[in-house]
Amino acid sequence: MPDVHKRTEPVGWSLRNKLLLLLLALFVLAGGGNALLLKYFIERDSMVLLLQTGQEEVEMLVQRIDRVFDRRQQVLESLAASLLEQNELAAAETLEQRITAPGLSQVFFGYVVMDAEGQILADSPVVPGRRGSSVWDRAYIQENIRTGQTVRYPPTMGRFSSIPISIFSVPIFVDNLATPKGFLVGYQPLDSEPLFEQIRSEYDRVSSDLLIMDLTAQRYVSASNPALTLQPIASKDPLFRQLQQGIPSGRFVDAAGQDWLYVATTQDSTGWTLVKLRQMQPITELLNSWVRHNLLVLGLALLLGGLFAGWLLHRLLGPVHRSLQQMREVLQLKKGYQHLQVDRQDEIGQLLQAFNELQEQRDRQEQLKDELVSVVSHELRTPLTSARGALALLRSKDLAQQPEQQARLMDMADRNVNRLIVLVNDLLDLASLTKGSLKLDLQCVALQPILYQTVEDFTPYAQEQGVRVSLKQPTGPLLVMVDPGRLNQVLTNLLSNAVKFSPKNTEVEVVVTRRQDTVRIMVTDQGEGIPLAFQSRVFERFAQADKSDRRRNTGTGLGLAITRELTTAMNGRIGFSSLPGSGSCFFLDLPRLDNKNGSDHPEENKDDH
Amino acid sequence: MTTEILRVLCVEDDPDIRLLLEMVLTPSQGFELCLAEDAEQALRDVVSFNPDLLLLDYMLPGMTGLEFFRQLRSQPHWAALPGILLTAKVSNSTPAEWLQSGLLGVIAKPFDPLSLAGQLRSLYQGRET
Repeated sequence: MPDVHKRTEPVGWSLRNKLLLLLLALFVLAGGGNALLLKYFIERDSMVLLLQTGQEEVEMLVQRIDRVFDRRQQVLESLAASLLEQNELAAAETLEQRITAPGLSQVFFGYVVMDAEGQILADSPVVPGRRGSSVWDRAYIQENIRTGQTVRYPPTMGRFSSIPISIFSVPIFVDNLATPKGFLVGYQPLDSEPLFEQIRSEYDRVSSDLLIMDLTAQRYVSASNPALTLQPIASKDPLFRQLQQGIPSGRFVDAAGQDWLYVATTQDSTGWTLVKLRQMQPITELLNSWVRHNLLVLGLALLLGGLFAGWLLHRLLGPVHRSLQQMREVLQLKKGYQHLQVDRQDEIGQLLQAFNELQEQRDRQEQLKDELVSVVSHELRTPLTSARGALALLRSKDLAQQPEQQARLMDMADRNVNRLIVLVNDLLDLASLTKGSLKLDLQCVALQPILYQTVEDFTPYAQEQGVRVSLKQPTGPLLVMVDPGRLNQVLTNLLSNAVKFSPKNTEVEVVVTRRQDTVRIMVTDQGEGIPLAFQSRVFERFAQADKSDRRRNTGTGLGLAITRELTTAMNGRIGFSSLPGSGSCFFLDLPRLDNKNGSDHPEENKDDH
Repeated sequence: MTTEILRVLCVEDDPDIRLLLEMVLTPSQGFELCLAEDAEQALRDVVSFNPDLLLLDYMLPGMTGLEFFRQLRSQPHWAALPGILLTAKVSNSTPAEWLQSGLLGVIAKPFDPLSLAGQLRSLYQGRET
């Protein structure tokens, strides 16, 4: 049962469902693809943008730190110059006075002055026990001696303060002397570095982090998170590893699983690496929310689009479904065909209309066929009646035993059997002609001898009917491509019609004229002509203007239909002109072959034209 | 066999069939026959011949035998004139309307000429019952 249902109602694969499915698939593909692309491109572009702005910020920071450090160095160097008096270091009191001058504490947290041997002469602020001790062994003093330049020393643990400090150290020179008279050091504890504090407070306002790293010492110099200051960097730290590999910007996931974007720049003067960090999470969340909204809108669009598509398909295919249902009923219930309802002008409407027209045509053909069968059986029964009747009477003992009557009956039987033969032949001819299966034996022949012979053969019959036949045809070559036997049949048909409708003692004329590319054969009679109402049906099968045509008991009603088919098969054309009361003229145009081989008579051609 | 002479007016356009009818429906068989080629001639003959029975071909020039029969019977004088239709159109069934119009019967072509006389007579006699 379900199987049968499936076969008769293949709804699962109906056009509507297929189209809906296709639309759905397209929507999902387009929507999903759109969301994915959106996510991908926005993520990529926003990352690029963030990295770019991050890069700029970091570079500005580097410059800012450079500027501050440069200014500090200038202040320290000019302070160093002011510590000399008559090419010698000033007295300790003077030194102390100088390094506690107002404003200097804004630049460095503390200052220390040493003599040429590294012994501390003065310090500010004063740390008990510091004055008098020697810092000769400190690397920055050695570097001062070696280079003769100011040294910015990497952050280190203060010997006295025991906190991380940054140190600037300046050798104090007298002009043109190679050895310094002493050294001036400015130092700044990193935990209270005003610059870093300032930057840190700025970074608190924007949701990102800043790291200042000393990669060689594997230590944080400073960070937005003050706890990291001077802490060692773990070797496994993913950011550290990426920076070590020289990747200046990118993305990494830290130990806690947080996703970060970073931009790094190395400061030439200190060798520090400044890293700006930004968490990916807010960006990812934003993106995800965008994609969610996008998908929501898409879902709504899908719903509306689906509803619209469904409605559209229903509207488009509704008539098709109805018509299909109607046709199914016609086929299954053998109901009579009813016109499909067509209420639209588009392709579907045209298809249904064409279907209706096809059906109409089929109905017409069916009707024609029925009529043909009916007419043919009628046409066969009439001569059969006569033939059978004649034979029955001949065999009977009681009737028709006089020789004269016997002869009449035998004539009758003979005549009607011949009529049947002609009828059957005509029907077969016509059937094969309309099917196009009749083989013609086309030959290039001269027209005149065929016409002459046909008229000659026909004359005795015409004379019997009291009708004269005349033939006028031009001399000279007149070549046509025809089947001579079939042409004879055509001409005999036309002659026989003409004679049949001619009153006694009149003439049937056969006239041949050359035309441009054709030759025209005209058969003219002086009969009553063809009734106007019948003129359009002259060439139809079994078409006869009046049943009284058969008073002469000739003709099957197929003659002109066959004549036309034969003429067409020989590439010719047949037509007629007729006025009721003044005779008919049937003409036959056949294509000429002779004018193309140049053997034509021009003046004759002109006359005929 | 009754000796009553039956006057039959035949309307038939085919000359061969007319000849057959003439040979079969003879006075010796108890028939007096009048032959007409078409309806026009038959309308004239029916007055002069005053037949007992009409034998009509279905396919007549100009109109069908049935039309001719109806037309004639519509005149009060001929309203009771019986008719028999001779036709090549019949296949297996005879349209009911043919018999409703007062025809005694329909004889299909090709008919057997030797039994035609008997057929006509029995149909004619059967009309009273």
